[in-house]
Formats: sequence, C-alpha cells, structure tokens
Amino acid sequence: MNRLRARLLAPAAALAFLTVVAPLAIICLYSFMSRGAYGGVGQPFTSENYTRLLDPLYGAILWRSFWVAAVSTLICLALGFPLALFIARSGEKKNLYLSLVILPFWTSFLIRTYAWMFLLRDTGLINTALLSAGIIREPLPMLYNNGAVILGLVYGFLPFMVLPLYAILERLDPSLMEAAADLGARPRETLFRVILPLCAPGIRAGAILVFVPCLGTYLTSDLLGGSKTILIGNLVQNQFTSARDWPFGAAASLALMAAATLLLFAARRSGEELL
Amino acid sequence: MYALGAYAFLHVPLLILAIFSFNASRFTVWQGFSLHWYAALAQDRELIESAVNSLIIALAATALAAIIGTLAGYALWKRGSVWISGSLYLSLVTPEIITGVSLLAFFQWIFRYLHLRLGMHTVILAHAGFSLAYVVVVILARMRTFDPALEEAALDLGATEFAAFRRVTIPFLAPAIAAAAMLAFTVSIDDYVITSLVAGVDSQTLPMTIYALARRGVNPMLNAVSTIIVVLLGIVVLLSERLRKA
Amino acid sequence: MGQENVLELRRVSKRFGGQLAVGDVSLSVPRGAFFSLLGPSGCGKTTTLRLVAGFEQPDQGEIWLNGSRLDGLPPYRRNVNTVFQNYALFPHLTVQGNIEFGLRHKAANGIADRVRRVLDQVRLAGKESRSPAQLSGGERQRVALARALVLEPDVLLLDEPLSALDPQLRKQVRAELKELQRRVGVTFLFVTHDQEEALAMSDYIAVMSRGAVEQIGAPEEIYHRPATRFVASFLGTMNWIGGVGLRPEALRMTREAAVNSRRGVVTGKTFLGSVVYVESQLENGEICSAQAVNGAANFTPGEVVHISWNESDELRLPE
Repeated sequence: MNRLRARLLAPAAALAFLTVVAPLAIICLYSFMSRGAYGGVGQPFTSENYTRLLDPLYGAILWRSFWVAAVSTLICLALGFPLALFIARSGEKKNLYLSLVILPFWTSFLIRTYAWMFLLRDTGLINTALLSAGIIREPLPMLYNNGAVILGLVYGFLPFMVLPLYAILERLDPSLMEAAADLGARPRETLFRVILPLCAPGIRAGAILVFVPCLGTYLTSDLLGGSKTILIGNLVQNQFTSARDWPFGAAASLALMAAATLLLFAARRSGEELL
Repeated sequence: MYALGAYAFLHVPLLILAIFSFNASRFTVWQGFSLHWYAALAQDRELIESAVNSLIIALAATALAAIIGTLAGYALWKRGSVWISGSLYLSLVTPEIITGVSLLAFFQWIFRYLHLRLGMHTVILAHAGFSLAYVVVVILARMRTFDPALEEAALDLGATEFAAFRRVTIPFLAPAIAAAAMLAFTVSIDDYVITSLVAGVDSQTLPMTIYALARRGVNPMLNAVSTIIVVLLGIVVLLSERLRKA
Repeated sequence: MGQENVLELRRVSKRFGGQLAVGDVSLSVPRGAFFSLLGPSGCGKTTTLRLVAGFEQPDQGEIWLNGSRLDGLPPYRRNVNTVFQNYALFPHLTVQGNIEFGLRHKAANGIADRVRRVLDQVRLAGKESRSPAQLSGGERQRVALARALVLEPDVLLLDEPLSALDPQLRKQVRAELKELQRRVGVTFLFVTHDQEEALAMSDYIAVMSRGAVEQIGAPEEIYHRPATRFVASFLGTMNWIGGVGLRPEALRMTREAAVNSRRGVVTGKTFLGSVVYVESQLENGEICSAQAVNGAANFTPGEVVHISWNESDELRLPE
C-alpha cells in the first residue's frame, strides 16, 4: 500500500521540485551573490543586495507598493462588504449572484486589465465621449498613475474580499439581528455593533487575500501604471530582464515572498477555515 | 441599488470592450455594426500562430497536470505529506512574477549543463507546475467525500489495488478530474507573466501577443480577440463548476 | 463441536498505535454455521472481522481458512467476502454491475447464470438495471449480499448489516437473513452489538469485551450459563443480589413474606407489552428488577414487597 502511494506521489514530487522548490532555492542562493560579468551571477557571497533594498530609491518603491496595496484593500473592503451582505441576504438567488462575482475572476486577467486601458486611455472611450460632448478640451490623464493601478487592483481582486465575507455572513444567525432590534438597536447600530464585530475573521481573511496579491502585482502596474508607478513586482521583473542584475532582483523577490508568506501564515492561524 | 452599481463595475468594462469589437470604425466612436475586425482577426498570422501555440501549451500542460495531480491527490488522501502539500501551497502563494523569474533563473542554470534553450517545453513545464496545485486541491476535495469502504469492497471482491483504483476510484473521481483539467486549462491559456519570462522565440503565446498589442494602443481587433476568449473561457468555467458540484 | 471447522483464528492479536484492539483471540467456526461476534462498540469484533477479510494484518497469531494459512494474503486472494456496514455499493454501477464486479476476476463461464440465480435468491430479479441510489435500504442490503454470495465464499463476513435499516424493517430482515443462510448453506461470520439480534439468529455466539473473547457457545448456553459477569450483564437484564446473579424471570414478587425472601419497596414499573418489569429497592439498598406477567403485576410504587427465588437459578460468576 505504501509502495503504491510512493509511486503515485513521485511524479508530483518531481514536478513540484522542478517548478517550485528548486527555482525558489536558486533565487535564495542568487540573492546572496554578486552580479556577474555578463549579467549572470558570480562570487563573492554578500548581503549587499538586501541592504540596497533600503536605499531611498528602492525604499520609495517598497513604500509605494505597500500603500497602493493597502488602499486597494480598504476600497475592496468598502465595496465588498455591502455586496457580500446583499448576496447573503438574497435568498434563493444567492448562488447566481455569487457566480456573477466570481465569473469575471476566471476570465482572463490580461483582458480585464486591457478593458480598463480601453476606457481610460487618452484616446479611450471616456475621453473620446467627454471630448465630443464638449465637456473637456484636453483628454483627462486617467491612465498611467497610481489611481489607475488601484482601480485595476480593486477590479481584479474584489472577489477575494467578497468570498470570505459572504462565507461568514451567510452563516450568521438571523436571530442575532432580530435580537439586536428587539433590544432597541437601530439598523445602523446593529450593523456596527453586531454584524461587523462578528465578521472580523472574514474581514481579516479577505484583507489578506486581497493585500498579498496586490503587493506582488506586476501586470496591473505594468499596463495601467506605466513607468510612473513602479512597484516591487515591476522592480523584480526589471532586474531580471533589462537591468540584468539578478542578485538584486532575487533579493527583492525574497523580500516580497517573505512578506506574502508571513501574512498568509498569520491569516491561516486566525481564520483557517476561510482560506 | 448599490449591488447593481457593484455588478456594473464588475461587468460593464468587459461588456463595453465586447460591444466595440463590433464597431465599424477603428476609433472609439460608434459608427455602426460590423464584423470587420473578426474578419481581420482571421487574417492575422501572428495572432493565429500564437493562438495555436497557446492551445498546444495549454493542452499539454493540462494533460500533465491533470494526470500527475490526480495520482498525487489520491495518494495524499490516503496519507498526507507535509513536503508535497507544503510545496503546492508555496506555489499557490508565490506571486506570479516571482514564479516567473525563479523559473527563468532555474532554467538558465540547468541549461549550463544541458544543451537546451527556452521554448515550448519550458513553457509547458512551467504551466504544468503552477496548474498542479489547482488540480490537487480539486481532487482532494472530491476524495474527502469518498467512502473508503468502496475500495475495500473492491479488494474484497477480488480486485487488486490497481484494479480497485481503476474500476472504482477513477469513475468516482471522473467529474472532478474533468473540472480540475478545465481549471488548469483556463489558468494556462490565460497566463502572461510567467510565460513571457520562460518563453523562447518559437513559443509566443496569445496573451503575449495581446500584451504587445495592448501596449501599442487602441485596436478593435484586440477587442474582438478578447471577446472570443472571454466567451470561450466563460463556457469552460461554467462547465467546470457544474461538474464540480455534480 | 464435532464438526469440521472452516475458519480458525489461533491466538490472534492486533494493535493500533500501541492500543490493543484484539488480544490473543482464538476462534473456531464450524462449516455452515451462523457464527456471531457480539460485544459493545470498541470490543474488537469489527477488527477481528477485518483481520479475516484481510483489510488488517495481525501482529501475532494465525488465521486458517479451509486448512490453509490466510494471514499475509491480500483481501483479493482470500475466498471470503464481506457485507459492509453501509453496504459500500459502487454508486457508478447498476445492481447488475455491482453483482458482476467480482466475477470479472474469476473464470468467465456461466456468469449470466450465476447472476440470475443469486438475484432470485435475494429476490431482486427485475431490478438489475437500477442504480444503488434508486433502491430502498432493504434492497441495497440484498444487493450487498448478492454481490458477495455470487462469488461463493467459504465464509461470508457481515459487519452489522442490519444497523443501517430502520427498526421496523430490522426484525423482518433478521428472519429473512437467517432463512437465506440456511438455504444457501454458506458459513456466516456476523458482527453485531445487538444482543437480541445475536440470540435470535446465531448457531454460536462469541461474546467479546476489550479485545478478548469472554465466552463462546450456543445462544441458550450463553444466556443461561454465562461464564463471566460481563457476559451475564451484556445479554439480557441481570440482577445482582448479595453477589449472585439472578435473571428477572427467576424472581418471584409477593405481598407476603416467604421462606428466605427479601423485603423491598417498589420504585417503578416498565411496561413492555406482554410482560412488565417491576423495579424495587431492597433494604440493603440493592436495586432489582423482577419480571411479571402483564395483568398479574398490580404493584404500585411505594408498596412493600417480598422477593424470593430458587437457589438453582442463582448464577455465581467470577468478576
């Protein structure tokens, strides 16, 4: 029985080793090496790549990544909570409404990002419409700034906020709300003093599920942020392609990876069943 | 009312994108219905070639991930393995860009010893790798509803372990395997970030072509491609959801 | 027993992670017998069955079937078959498919005949193409029986096969099962925690407790001459008065004192249809339950009664 199990697991172990474990191990190793002569890596071993991350130039990128992710998470929460509440309370149509939230998530991320480019560009739909209506003379610069990136992130990761919130709200005993009303609480009070506190684990799970991919985003900031909104993801990509400083790129990767796994680990401990 | 706004936010951008794929004009001003851009699409060699590449890669990676992941999910159901589950969890939480650069670094390191180059095979391996976790998650979820007595009954009735797996467990898993394969297919055919880093000259995929076109500017042909992809992926996802719940 | 034994367990032990599940169990099952393993949950009866089926391997001891060693063989090499507690019917196969499942691994001749015969035996003819989900509980149980019987096992292992049925059906199926066993002549090794079930159906009962066999014998023998206090208490109701065991039907309850009678106060009554159990508390604090024929038991709680018995009905048992 055990031999059979080992044989069944062997291909997955090999595939996971080749595509997950070994590549990450190499990145670990490279992050402590120096830039090689032809853009590769070389001796000596050093921790300089990590200290360089704290350099103001890169520190600004880390800081921007952090607050862009934080703002996106807060907006997702503000938008997602009422939506989750609405779905949880819509009776028989719950599943349909839930699918309508999840469905866009499974349709190409790239294309959804392009859809916003199509709307926000100088020659995009909104500007063209406003120009032809005579409301504005010059196209509004809506693309290639932090706002566009945040918009794209909220659009992309809203389902991650709605799902755990919905999971909690759906299980919430309706008699709790009735009890609050019975004890004289107005709907607003019930929301803030009963529902929100009970949703804390869902909010925590949703916040981390949104924050982590936002922190590590590459495509959204690349397409909607252009050269003005460089985030860690773009920094990493840049070091591995045009800048060809792999050790520094590896160090930035590991810093990002560490932040992501720590947050997810914390989330798993606080609300395991939601993840 | 609020919910309507939220759903509009989620769905209207794609809807507008689709509507303008039927625009007669090449600018973002509506000038009447036309299938012109769909016709142009069929003539575009770069698009067609990259679509074919994407399809080959997605099918190969899906087959690999589905087979390997099904066997692994079944084995992990019998008894967990911290190492394998840990690696799969890691692959799920690693930001795409890091998966991409780490695979690039790893392949380049291996190529110092093997005379290989980046190409279709590296893309397929990468895609099979990141799809594997999805497959295992779906298979494990299904196995949790499996009554172990069914396998014991098969052994009791004279089937060997392998025969029991093939004649009892696989039929039980069939809908989950199909659902898992469809998920793997959608994540594979959609991926840009990882693919762009591990692709070679012969393996430009559809998302890579779309990315290049999107950077260049508004192009109604791109709207047409996007519409087709969104519709096809939507169908695959709906089918997969239905199978998973069956 | 004098008959030839089809199955023998010799000093079999099995541990799960240090916990003793079956300890030094020896059993001999005569060919053609209806043999029950009876005991409370966790007593090791199901583990014993699984050791015979081959789902578990013994740590010590030997299992012999028809004169050859069985332990060490995988389940699919043993000519014993199991009826599982929840039947474990293959949901993706029809009734026919379930019954044919095991025949695929045997010689192919006469499959259709054998399937038809077994379908008749369990009265399922006409339901071949149903799927298990379309069957009633009783029908599912008969498919599970047919699926195993069609392979003509030397011993049929039944793991609480009646527990998934509702109580109404259970009594009826009990009689049917016993009748089927007699007709087909296959040896049954039957696991149950229900003493009434075991007493009603078995030729022999092995009472188990904490991984060990307490007593083996015919139902009457086990009921009337229990070997240990555990057996006495587990089968039927047992009163312990002054250290000796007395069945409720051995006690006489009267309003007047009799020779050697004990004084007590009636505390309650349990009405069971044809008979009534009258509970009373003796002067020394012991509680006893006496059986009275319904109608002859017009005692009321609080009333003083005198309880007596024949010395020959006393059971003196080791702890």
